Amino acid sequence: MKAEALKGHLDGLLLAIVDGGSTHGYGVISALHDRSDGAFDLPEGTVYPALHRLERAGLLESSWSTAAGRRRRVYAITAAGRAALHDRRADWRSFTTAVDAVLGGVA
Amino acid sequence: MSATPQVDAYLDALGAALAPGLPRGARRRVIDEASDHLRCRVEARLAEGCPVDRAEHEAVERFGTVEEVAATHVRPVAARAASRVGPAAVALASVFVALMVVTTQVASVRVGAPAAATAGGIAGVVGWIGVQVAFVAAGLTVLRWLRLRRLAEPVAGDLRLLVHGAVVVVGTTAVSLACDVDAFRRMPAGQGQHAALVFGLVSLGMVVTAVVTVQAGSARRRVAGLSRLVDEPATLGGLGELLVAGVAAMGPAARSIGHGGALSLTGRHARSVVVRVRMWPVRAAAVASVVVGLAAGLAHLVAEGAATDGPARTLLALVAIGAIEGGLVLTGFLALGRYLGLRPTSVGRAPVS
Repeated sequence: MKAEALKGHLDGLLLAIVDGGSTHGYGVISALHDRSDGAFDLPEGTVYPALHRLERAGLLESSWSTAAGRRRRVYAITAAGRAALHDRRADWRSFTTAVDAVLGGVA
Repeated sequence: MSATPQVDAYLDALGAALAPGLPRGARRRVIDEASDHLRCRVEARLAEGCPVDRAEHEAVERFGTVEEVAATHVRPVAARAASRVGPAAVALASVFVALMVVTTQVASVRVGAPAAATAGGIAGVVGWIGVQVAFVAAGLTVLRWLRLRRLAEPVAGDLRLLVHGAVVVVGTTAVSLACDVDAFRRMPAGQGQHAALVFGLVSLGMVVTAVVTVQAGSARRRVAGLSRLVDEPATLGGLGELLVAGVAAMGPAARSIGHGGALSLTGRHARSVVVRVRMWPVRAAAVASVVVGLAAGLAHLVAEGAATDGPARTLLALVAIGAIEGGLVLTGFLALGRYLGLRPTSVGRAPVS
């Protein structure tokens, strides 16, 4: 699945991953890959601007730590981020229900 | 961890690609995060038994090309910076126009010494032209800003036009200030107010013309369903670009003039029937105000000049002034047309299909 298919959904996916626990960028992107079973195949470096955007929007917060002698930025979800994630999940369920109803034929 | 030359080379290239578009602090953060990510990936592959050079290659490949990664970081930063450029350009232009108006009013009050020159001579002509260009540029700049502030990510080309507008307003206002103060000071008592009235009428008409032209262009693009396609880094441009753009604009602009007079120079956007029907009364009113203003100014000069210099000398002076002003106005707008976005270009405009 290419990046184009993720348009409009990436923010919600990232919030859902970080909601599972604070982690650094590599952890977020690896989880995105693993939990989608490799379906979301987008350049990993292009995910960081989305993390930065969510942080500017107050949905994520981040801080520097040190690991293996390297500076590492660790992301955590905020209360506003949890609320936004809740809304996105509700929107997604409504959307998929409606699409299923129209497409039909699902065994 | 062993040496990672491919990762290091990638990070160097990414840093270089980010340098023009990101401030130092933001760049440092991007590079540090990228470094941590790539080394984590390499370590994970090494733990699986992958050779280091192959692990590096895969890590860099999965991260994305330098160009696409840099673009995703720079684009939103450029958009945010651009959203600050607009108000700054408008504020700068407004300050200069206000300064110009105040200064000319003060100058017109202080006049009193009689002088023989018609309307202050060359200084008056240059000041007259400069202030008209300044008003038009200011009007266009404000309009563009009002339009662009509604966009989440304005197009770099349009933002560049905002900056161009501010530069033109500042430059022409500075010239006009110097010329107008001198010109008004040379006038006999009372003439300053008359000249300011005529000058105001003409300027108002030209601003309205510019406003309508921009609206017509915008409406036409909406009607045509054109989308914004240009995505290039915002730059401030410069005088050299102004000159090049002006020379490049000469050809099509000359054809426009041949088809419908000087004002069609700015009206080429309004060829859509829908837009023309909606806009023509306002355009006609704007053109009429310019014509009436110029006629009033001409009558004023004839009356004043005939009383002091005689009809023949006055006529000669008017012809000379008219030729100089007409030439300068035409040349100025030909040069400024593309610079201010009066004419569509490949920068900031989708091609007309």
